[in-house]
Amino acid sequence: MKKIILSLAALLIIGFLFWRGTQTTFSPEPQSSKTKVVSDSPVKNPSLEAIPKLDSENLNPELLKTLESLPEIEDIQALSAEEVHHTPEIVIEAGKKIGEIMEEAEENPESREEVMNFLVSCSEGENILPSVRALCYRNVLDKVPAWNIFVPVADLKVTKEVQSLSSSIP
Amino acid sequence: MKIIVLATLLFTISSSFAAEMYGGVSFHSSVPVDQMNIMKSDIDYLYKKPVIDPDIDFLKLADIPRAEGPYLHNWLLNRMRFIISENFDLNKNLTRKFFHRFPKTPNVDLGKLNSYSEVAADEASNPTIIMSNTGGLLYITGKRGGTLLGLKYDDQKIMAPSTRVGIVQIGAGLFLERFMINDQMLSSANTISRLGTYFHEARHSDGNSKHTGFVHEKCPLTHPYAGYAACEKSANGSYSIGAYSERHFYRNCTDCSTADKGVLAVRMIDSINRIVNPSFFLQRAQLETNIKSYQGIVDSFENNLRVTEDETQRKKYERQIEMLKSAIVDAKAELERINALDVPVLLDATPEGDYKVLSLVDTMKTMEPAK
Repeated sequence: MKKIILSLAALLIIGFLFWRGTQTTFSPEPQSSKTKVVSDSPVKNPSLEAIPKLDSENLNPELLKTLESLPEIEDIQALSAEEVHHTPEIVIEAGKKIGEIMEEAEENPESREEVMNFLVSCSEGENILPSVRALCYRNVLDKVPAWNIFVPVADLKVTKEVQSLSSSIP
Repeated sequence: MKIIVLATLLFTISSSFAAEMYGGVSFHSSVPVDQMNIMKSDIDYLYKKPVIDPDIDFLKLADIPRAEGPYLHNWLLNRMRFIISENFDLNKNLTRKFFHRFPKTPNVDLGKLNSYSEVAADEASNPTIIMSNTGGLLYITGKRGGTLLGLKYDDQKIMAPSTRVGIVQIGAGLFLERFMINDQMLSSANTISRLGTYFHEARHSDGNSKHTGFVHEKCPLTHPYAGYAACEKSANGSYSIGAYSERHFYRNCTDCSTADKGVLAVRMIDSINRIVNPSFFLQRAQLETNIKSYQGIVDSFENNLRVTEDETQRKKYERQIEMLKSAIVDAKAELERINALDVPVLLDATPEGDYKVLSLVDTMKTMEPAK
C-alpha cells in the first residue's frame, strides 16, 4: 500500500513538473519597438525578422560611451567667449565621432541597425546640444530609405529647432 | 665697393621685412612661413576647384553672381587683403590721421563693439586666436573717436577709411590640430573649414550704419550660447556666410570622406544655429529640404508596404506614411505662405566709407603666374 501511494505521489510530482515545463512564457513584442530590419529581398516576410528594442540600453558599450560623451548645453556655458566665437572644440569632436560611426556603418552593413539606434537616441537626447542632435537627425532621415530600416520618423521626439537645423545640410 | 656692400645689405634687410603677395593677398612679414603657405594653398583651392553643384543659397546671401572660383576669389579679395599674425603688435603699430571725414551714419552700438573686440585682443585671458577682422575694428573704433586709424604695415601705412580695408589677423588657432577635420592639414576638408572661416571674417568687412561690420549679437537666454556675443539676427551675416560658403565647398568636395563630412556638417549647423531670427529666405530653404527628405522616406515606406504581409508592421508603415504626408502638406502650405510675402529679408551689405572695388579682371590678374 505504501509503495502504491509513493508511486502515485511520484507520478503526480513528475506529472506536475512536466505540466509546468510545457507552460511557455512568450515575451510580448515590445510596444516601443522602433526599428525593424527589412530584408533586401521583397519575397521574405519582414515580420519574421527579430525586432530589436530601440533605445540607448540596447547599444553596444562603444556606441553607448559615444552617446554619453556627446556635448550637452551646460557644457557650452562652461566655455570662454573666445572658445564659442567659432565652432567649439567639443562640437567638432562630436562631429568627428558621429562621422566615424557613419563611415563604419557604410562599410559594415551588419552594424547599421545599431547605428540607427544610436542616431535616434542622439536625435531625441533632450540635453544634447541641438546642433549635434540635428546632425544625428539628418543622418536618420537620409539613412532610413538608404539602409531600408524602419524608424517611426513621425513619432520621434525631435524639436522643431532640431528639425529646422537638420535641413541645413545638403 | 663699400657702398655697394652696404646698399646690398640694406636692401636684404628691408626685403626681409617686406610683405609677400599671393593671389592678391598681402602677407605681413610677421606671418610664419608655414601659415602663409597653407593660406596660399587655400587660395589655390578656392580659385581652381571645379564647381559641379553650386550652392544657390550661398550665392544669393553673399550676392555673388556665379559660383566659379574666380568669382569667389574676387568676393574674398575685396574684403580680405592684408594678413597680419597674432604676434603683430597692434598698439605699437597703430597710426592716426586727424580731421578725417567719416560718413554721417549712426555708429555701431557700444555694447556690440565691446563684444567685437573681445576676440581681436584680450591679452588678459590669452586666447587662442583663430582669425579676426582687425580692419573692421579699426574703422568702427576710429569713426566713434572721430580719428582715422591705421597700421604701420612693414614698409607702408594702411589706413582704415572703411571696413573694406580688409586687414585680417590670423592666429595659431586656425591651424591647430584639435580644430582640424582630419590630420591632413592640406586635405580638402581642412581647406574647406579654413575657407569657411575666411568667408566669415571677410563678411565683417561689409555693412553700414548700425550694422557696419555685421557685428555679432548677444545670444538670447533660451539659446545654447546664451549670454555670449556669438549670434546674429540677419540671415546674411558672418555666421551665415561662413556656413553657407562651407556648404558650397562641401557640395563640391569629391574627396571628402564620410567622417570628414560629419565634422563639416556639424560646423555648418553650429553656425546656422547662431542666426536667431531666421529670415523667410532661410525658412523657405529649410522647408524645401524637409519636404524632400520626408518624401524620400514616404517613398521608401510605400515600397516596403507593397511587400509586407505582417499586419502589425503594415499598420506601422501606414501610420508613418500618413503622418509624414500630413507634415509634407503643412510644410507646402507654409512655403506657399512665405512665398506670397513681400518682405526685405537681408541686411544691406554695402559697406560705408572710402574704398576701392576690385574688378574680376583685376583679381584674376593676381592669380596669373609671375612673369
